[in-house]
Amino acid sequence: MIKPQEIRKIGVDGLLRNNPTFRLVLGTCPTLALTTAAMNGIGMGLAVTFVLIFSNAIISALRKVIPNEVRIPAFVLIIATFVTLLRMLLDKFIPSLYESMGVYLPLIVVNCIILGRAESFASKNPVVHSAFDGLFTGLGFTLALTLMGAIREILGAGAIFGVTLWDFRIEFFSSSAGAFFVYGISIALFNFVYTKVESRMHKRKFEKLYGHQELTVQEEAK
Amino acid sequence: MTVKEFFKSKTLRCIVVLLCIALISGGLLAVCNDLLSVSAEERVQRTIKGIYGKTVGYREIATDYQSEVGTVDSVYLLEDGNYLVRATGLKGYKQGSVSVWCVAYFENGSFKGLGSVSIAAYDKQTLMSKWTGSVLAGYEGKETFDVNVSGATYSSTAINNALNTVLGYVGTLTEVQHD
Repeated sequence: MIKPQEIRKIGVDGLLRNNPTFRLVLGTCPTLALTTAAMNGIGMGLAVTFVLIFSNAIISALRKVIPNEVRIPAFVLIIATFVTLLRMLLDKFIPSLYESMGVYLPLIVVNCIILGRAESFASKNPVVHSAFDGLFTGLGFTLALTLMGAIREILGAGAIFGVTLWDFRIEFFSSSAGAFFVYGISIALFNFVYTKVESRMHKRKFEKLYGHQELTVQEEAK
Repeated sequence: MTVKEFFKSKTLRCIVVLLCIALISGGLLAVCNDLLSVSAEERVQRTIKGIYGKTVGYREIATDYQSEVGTVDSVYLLEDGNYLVRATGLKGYKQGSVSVWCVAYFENGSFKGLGSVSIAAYDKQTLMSKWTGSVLAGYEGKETFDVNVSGATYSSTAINNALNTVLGYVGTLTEVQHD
């Protein structure tokens, strides 16, 4: 069984340390195209999460059966099955979301986040670990897309989740150029905050272990 | 490679594994498709619900009406006497087409105008995201359609063609009613 510490580690990896959008810069195509509104971001993020959880679990379960030579076509077959299933479910139960995601929904098959997690994690780890990895990586992607969608919707359409806030809008943020701009700024901000928090946590850990602050190279030389 | 060697080789194992995955996936999707497929009737009901906010009874009317710039794909006579029409307009971007749903509103048997326009499908068009709800509302109640969305002139032409074809079709309906 999976231990709570392992879940925590996988969670921190998927959401922050290896956040697919802001840290690994994967899945850029849907990130840029679908973040015109926060709701689209949530929809796409949850769709990818669904596929990630199930494809990771199945790939992990079959990792000893699938020969190394045909692992990529086998992964793509499994991922495509879940994407097709997801399309059927969305078309049946949430048609508005199905229509708003357009061509990007079938394109999840070739989303490098899913293939990347299958190759680097699911094919080497047990089923439950892989399912959790899929869940947290998917949630990390969802959070990133929702954040970007919210910024672009507020600035580009003067609304949030379809609710109009004010009449002021800057069309630039609804355009493709605006998507690149918001993406770049978001990556910079996320990494700035993440590095600060990580170094502070490292300092605290060091102090707790050794009872004093970590010395710089110059201080150590003295 | 002899036959015996082939049966012991990794090649066969690769083929078998891929075949098994494909077969199981195919079987699963076939079952799911049976359970989850959306029928044409359900799609019409969805469109009606999108327009009226509730389901309304309808009757399909056979038609093969077409003009030089478009065709009427399907027509439904709704319970309240209005017509729900799906039409395809030609001459879009890269000679592609745009299909639209619209309602031909009638009051006491006389035509009052087209409205509730929505995009049903399109082919080869790249700027369809420009047709937001407020832009589509601009088509409400016009007598002829020459709406031009800036930067997407060809797609605008296809939509205008579809709606003008619907107007042509409605003309034949009112003629029948006058007769």
